[in-house]
Amino acid sequence: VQVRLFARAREVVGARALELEVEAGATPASVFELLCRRAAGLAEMRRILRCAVDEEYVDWSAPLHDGAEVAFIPPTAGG
Amino acid sequence: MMGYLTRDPIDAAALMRELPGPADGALATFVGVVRDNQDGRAVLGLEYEAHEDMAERQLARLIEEARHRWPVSSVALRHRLGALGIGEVSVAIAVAAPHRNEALEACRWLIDTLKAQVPIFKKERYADGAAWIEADP
Repeated sequence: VQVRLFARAREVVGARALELEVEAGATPASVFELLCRRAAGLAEMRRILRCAVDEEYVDWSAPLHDGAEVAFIPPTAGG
Repeated sequence: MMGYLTRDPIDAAALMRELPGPADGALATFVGVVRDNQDGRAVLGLEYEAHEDMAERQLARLIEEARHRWPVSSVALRHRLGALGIGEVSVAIAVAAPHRNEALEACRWLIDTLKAQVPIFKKERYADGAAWIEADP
């Protein structure tokens, strides 16, 4: 899957985008756990992040298809 | 890209001039500008970042929804990305309609929903550092 990161989550991980190999049955939650192994500081952001798959907000337990774009969305602050 | 997001300065007056047609009696606008303080702390400037493709799609959908909910004639919207100084325009929304109530309500709903839903992120710069805004103001 393709992972997209923004704002402080991007800075904590040190990447805007990365590609991760995941098992069948992966979800945004399981992808997030994989990311936390790379960047320990990310875990505490979970409670403020939303997730989006292919540019739509979804539940953390949504199923992921091969090649899905998984974005972790920090609190929005436009305007 | 549908072009609601821009890295160039926003000309709010130009956006408004384009809108009202001959049957419109109201033009409601919201223009957000960069303020030099937040919670008593001096702010030197802002930086906006977005999930750009997702934000463009969501903004198109919000405008579509506003046009369904209220009998408005046309909507124009721009949101700035990148580094902004004090007094610069961060967002401009203009809604033209035959009458004022629908124009005002649609404009208010658009800015409120944009803030809550559209994946745009803001970093404040201070004299001694910078921070991403992660709580409702």
